[in-house]
Amino acid sequence: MILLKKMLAIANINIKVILVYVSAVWANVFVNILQVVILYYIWMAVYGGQTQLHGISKSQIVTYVIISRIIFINGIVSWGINQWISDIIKDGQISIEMLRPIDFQLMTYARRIGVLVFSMILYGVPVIVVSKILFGISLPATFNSGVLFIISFLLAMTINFLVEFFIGLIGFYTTNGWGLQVFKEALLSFLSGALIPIAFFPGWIRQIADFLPFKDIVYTPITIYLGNTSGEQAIKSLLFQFMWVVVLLLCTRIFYTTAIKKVTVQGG
Amino acid sequence: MAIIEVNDLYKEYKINQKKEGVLGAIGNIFYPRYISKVAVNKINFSIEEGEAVGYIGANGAGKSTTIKMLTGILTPTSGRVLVNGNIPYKHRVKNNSIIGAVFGQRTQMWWDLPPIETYKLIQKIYDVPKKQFDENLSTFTELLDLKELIKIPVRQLSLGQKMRCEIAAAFIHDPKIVYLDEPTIGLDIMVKDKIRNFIKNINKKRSVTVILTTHDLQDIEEVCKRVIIIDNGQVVYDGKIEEIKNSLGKYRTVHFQVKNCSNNLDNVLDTQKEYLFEVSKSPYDIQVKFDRQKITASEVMNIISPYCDIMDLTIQEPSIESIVRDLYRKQVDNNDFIKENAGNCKY
Ligand SMILES: Nc1ncnc2c1ncn2[C@@H]1O[C@H](COP(=O)(O)OP(=O)(O)OP(=O)(O)O)[C@@H](O)[C@H]1O
Ligand SMILES: [Mg+2]
Repeated sequence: MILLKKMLAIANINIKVILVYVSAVWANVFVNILQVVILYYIWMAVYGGQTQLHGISKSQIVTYVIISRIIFINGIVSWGINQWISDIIKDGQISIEMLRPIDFQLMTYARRIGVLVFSMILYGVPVIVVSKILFGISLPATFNSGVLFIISFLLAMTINFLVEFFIGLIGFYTTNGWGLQVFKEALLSFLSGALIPIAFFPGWIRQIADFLPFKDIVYTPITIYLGNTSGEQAIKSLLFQFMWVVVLLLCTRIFYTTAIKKVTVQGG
Repeated sequence: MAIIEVNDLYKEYKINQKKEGVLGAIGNIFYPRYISKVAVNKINFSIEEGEAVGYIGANGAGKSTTIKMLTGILTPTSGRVLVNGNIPYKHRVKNNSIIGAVFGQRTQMWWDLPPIETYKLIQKIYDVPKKQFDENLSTFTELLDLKELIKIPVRQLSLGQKMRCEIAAAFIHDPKIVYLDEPTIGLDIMVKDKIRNFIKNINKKRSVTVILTTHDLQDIEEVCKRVIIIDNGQVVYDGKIEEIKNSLGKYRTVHFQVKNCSNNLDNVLDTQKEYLFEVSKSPYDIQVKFDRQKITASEVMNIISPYCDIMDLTIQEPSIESIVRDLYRKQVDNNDFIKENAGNCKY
């Protein structure tokens, strides 16, 4: 309970920082909508006369585009915790952050999830409203799809966090935090399914993408939302996501223990 | 048991000797060559709850390295630190929850937000009861004069204003121990005074253990009863501040700006050798070091004024660097000195 209170407090203060820069909201929303519009027309061209491609219908792809854009813009492109970790390693502020009375990774998790959920509401709601008017957006396929989507989404954001945390730790070995961010964006925009649904990937690329955890950040929760993954299949997807959370958690713990020695042993 | 126990604490930094050129860079990957630098060399001390200890020494002496090991930021190469029964770098969260820290050049506050937001966060993450927090906040606001400041974003505060807020942040959760690494660096006399009084006050009233590093002897004189002097990574003195002041800090240096000096001055100064040492002289400038227990500053002036027009004068207190230097000279003169004084540290 106390731990949760601590995490909420950390989420809260970092959300306040976003509010300081809130004047950027409209620019952000505008860019987001513009992207949805462009992607909408591209997908309409791709579908042409067909109503269904690779198991995704023409109306589903619109919803896919809108939700994936919101996750992409708020989760993958901006406010990444990897950037923050790189920064504090570079300027030495990490030694101050190590003195807070909470585990470093839990603290960054609270920070990231707080900011993410908040910015998704702040930036995402206007995008959904405008998109609904322009193109229409469908509700979750069934009530169950909706519930499973929420669970899958939280797991997705946790996986996103762990990937960011891992990339952030590379900052201990290179000062090029910006390069890492670009690398992350390139990797994730493709392999998460944010650009093109994984179902459209050809043969072996699809097999690789299916195996990796990145598709669980965008593709998995949205296909659950759309009802394309449901029942036993959906539960399997959730378990698969959960397995990746555990694996990535272990990896980041080990990596963190090794990397932090650069500060605690070598002195930065 | 002492709240802080330090035994044979040793820290060696490994510095990667970078070779030049492309081949060198490749070489670095396969054969990194390290040179090691001993920063803290087997030091021992123990600090009781409620003490206020000044930790001083010249630049590069190893002060910050020690503080970082005490806080758990750095892992010792060898030796042992116990803080309230915990090993700081192992029991990190446990240790963090009973300490506060200020590092002169850094801030723990959120840069874009007013200090009050950081304080509120601290209240939650250190689990401070609301009532106690409010009391502390109002006491600190008054003592450090923070009323206006805590609502202004940190990045808009001046150095002194920021430091006052920072000090409050380090104490507001009622920590058992507070580490202050050069909290007065770059501040004016008024702000220094406020900060010193604050630390002194909280240390006394709440028996918070305080460890303070600084290059300003006056910080130590006003806040601490005990001082540990470190040089080249080794403790060269550990004892009461008065003893240092009496035995080593009794010297003062006067600088005179002069005009029209008569030639007799040299002879006169020569006859006063017993009281005045390290005299240096140029036509417009005389520098004299004296023992203030043997002769007063005005007497020094009286000796010189008949022979020169004194335009201006300044009196300098001994710096920490010169005290450390004098300590060494004594150590060489008399090997017993350190042992004698080392005895003083057992309270
Ligand atoms: N990260 C590091 N890597 C390598 N050497 C270091 C590192 N930090 C400090 N040192 C070296 O260790 C020695 C002690 O440094 P430290 O910062 O502890 O001194 P200090 O007493 O705090 O000095 P100052 O009064 O200048 O703050 C110095 O010689 C310094 O060059
Ligand atoms: Mg220092």
